Amino acid sequence: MSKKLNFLESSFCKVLRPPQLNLRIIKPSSMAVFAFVLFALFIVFAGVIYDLIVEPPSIGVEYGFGNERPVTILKGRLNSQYIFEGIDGALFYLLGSIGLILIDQALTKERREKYGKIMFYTGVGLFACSFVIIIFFIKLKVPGYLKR
Amino acid sequence: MSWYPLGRVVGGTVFPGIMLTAGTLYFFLKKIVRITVHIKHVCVFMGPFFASNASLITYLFTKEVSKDYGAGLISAVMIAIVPGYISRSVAGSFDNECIAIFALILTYYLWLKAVNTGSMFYAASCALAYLYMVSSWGGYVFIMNLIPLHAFVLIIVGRYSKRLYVAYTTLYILGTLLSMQVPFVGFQAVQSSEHLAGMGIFGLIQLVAAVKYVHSILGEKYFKLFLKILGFIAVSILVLFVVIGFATGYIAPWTGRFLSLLDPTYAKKYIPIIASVSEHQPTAWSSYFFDLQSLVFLYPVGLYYCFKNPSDSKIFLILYAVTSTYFTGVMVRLMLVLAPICVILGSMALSNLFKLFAYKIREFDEENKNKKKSQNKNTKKQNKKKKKTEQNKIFNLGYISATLMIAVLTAMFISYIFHSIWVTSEAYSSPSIVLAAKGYDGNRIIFDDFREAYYWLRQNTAPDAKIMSWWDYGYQITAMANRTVLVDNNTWNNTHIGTVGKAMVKTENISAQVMEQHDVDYVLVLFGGLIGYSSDDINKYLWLVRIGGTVDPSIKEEDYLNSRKEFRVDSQGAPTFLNSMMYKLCFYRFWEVKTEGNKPSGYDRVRNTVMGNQNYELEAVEEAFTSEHWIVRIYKVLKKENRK
Repeated sequence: MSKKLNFLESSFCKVLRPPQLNLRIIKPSSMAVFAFVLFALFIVFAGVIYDLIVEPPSIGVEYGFGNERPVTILKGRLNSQYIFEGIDGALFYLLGSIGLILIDQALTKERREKYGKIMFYTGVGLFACSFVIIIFFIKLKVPGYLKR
Repeated sequence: MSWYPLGRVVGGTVFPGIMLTAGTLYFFLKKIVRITVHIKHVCVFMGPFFASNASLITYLFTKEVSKDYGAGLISAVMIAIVPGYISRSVAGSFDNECIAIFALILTYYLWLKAVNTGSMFYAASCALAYLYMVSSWGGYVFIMNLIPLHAFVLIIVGRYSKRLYVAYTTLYILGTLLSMQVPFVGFQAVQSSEHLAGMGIFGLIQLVAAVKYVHSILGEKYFKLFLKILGFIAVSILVLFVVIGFATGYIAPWTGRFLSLLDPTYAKKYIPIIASVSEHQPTAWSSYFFDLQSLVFLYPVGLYYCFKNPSDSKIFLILYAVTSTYFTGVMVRLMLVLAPICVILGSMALSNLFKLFAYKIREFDEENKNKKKSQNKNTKKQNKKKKKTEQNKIFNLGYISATLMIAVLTAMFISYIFHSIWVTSEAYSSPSIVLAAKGYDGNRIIFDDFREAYYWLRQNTAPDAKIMSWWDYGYQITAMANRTVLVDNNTWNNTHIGTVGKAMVKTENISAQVMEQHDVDYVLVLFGGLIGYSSDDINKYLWLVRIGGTVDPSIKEEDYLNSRKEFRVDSQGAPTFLNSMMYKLCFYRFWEVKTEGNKPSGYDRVRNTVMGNQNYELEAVEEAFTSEHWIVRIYKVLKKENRK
């Protein structure tokens, strides 16, 4: 059986010459895959699919006293957005999560003391500020948030 | 009766799970426990009952995946109030999703138990839970594609084991056989493309097991030869199977609803009915925060912990998270499927963060105790140790900082609770059959027009009268007015709905012909111009045009827009629209009504303009009933005169 297979292979190689491929099986590290997943999450949280289907304008316009002013956030309705507004929101979602990840990295891995401090305080600052900013955006979008 | 004159085979077009569950609970309470309840109360409270069961199952699930009791408890608390799930399981919402999410988490829990222990008992119970899921919701296709995907990824990553083989084989065979018992699914389980992934991975896992077995018997040299032959045969059989299956049409391609998940622009172009439902719109960024609050921040952190220490179950969580996030981005309604995984990952993250800070506090306390016991003994040794490891050490958080961080995380958790309670009370628990609004002086005005109109129908029309209305109100008319309708919310026949749409958007003559063909006695329309109710039929008008256009190619959307491509109701509106049946029915005699003090009569408070086409007469119908605030308007179809 092996002779027949070798004959098949050698006859094939006489007609066509297979190219010299140096293929390697790529095994990415788990943190590289995690970074890719975070990027995909950013795209979905930004409402890119909403932008593709509904095609909203990139920023809104407010008219007043002879001039036009740009408006970032679409007020009043919950499930609609401008393109920029979506990217803004997703940015702050991810910054908040990255803040918490930095806190975890600072407290579990051994590194020089200066870097540990910087990571921890940056993480706390990122998370706290992102949370407050997102609540501020939502109050702009849904008037009467947390009011009876 | 509904879908006159076609009728509908209810047994083969409906998922029986929720009805069977409600009936079983009612029977159990009435006959075995001997408590007298009305079936209505059982149905109303099934949502909360199964949501509390889902909370228990989520505790078991999280404990199974993370081996951490704390994470389990946090996840049980969070899923009890997460707004994404509460929106579909409030008391009074008797829909498939009440029990479907409970069945989903139960199936996944038993699957992970089966993969972790390799026992056939758990795999068989998973198949039974899968049967329960198939009988309750069309979303069972998600399970039947996620579990094969998980098995495939485990094989690729190199985590294949005998446990996976036993679990997947048992589950696939028993699960497919059981799912074919549900009449709605039948032979689709082996015929449709949505189930093909399960079959493919089943074949693949048999191959992998066979190869590993042969590898353990043969030596290295003959094993390579065996691999070559086997690979050639396997690939050729697979290609043959796929080509013949698709060519003869035995395997049906991906259909409407599920194809619109993979290609979001498909529904917009080809199937306007799916695109018109407001729940099927894609998700904007704010809906994520509204439905999940703190969990959007904790969810990537949970993913980070899964990537840090991977195991079989954690890989499953990663796959579930990524696929459900994509599907939620396509349809807002699927936020329901994202909510459990967000809760599980978020609670794992929150528990780990809490633990980090709690250990710091505990270390600090123990250091204090040790310092008091042995103050002078080990100072020299400690000094030497300090000098050696000065370069790299874990950041030493102080006692006060750790306590502050625990307080911050607790504050976030508390804000989650307040947010969920506010969202549930404001957005997700209003009944939609009775509308309420605040008057100018703050008191509440109630609009009970729907029930008023349906009861008028019930008491003042012949028992075999047929009502034509848009499909949104079909179930309500069938239940409350007890009359036959042409189309209802099941939307299983798009052509019939298209015909009703055509009857509404064409002129009165053509509409009368269609109504006569279908034996229609009454027409029901919704009009919100008097009080400013914005979900009326005129705001849905363009969807009627698009859906009617799938049946009759002469109905084009641009005919109903004016020269500036706007949809307007006043004198600048398109003439085709101003002469259509729906316009005439909604605005009949509205020119006599003064709605606001400083505006002329006939002012539409939703579109904020005066109505365009005034003082016309209706020839084919006559007005039968208009509710108190003009929301529901019913017209009687006049019979044609006898020929002379």
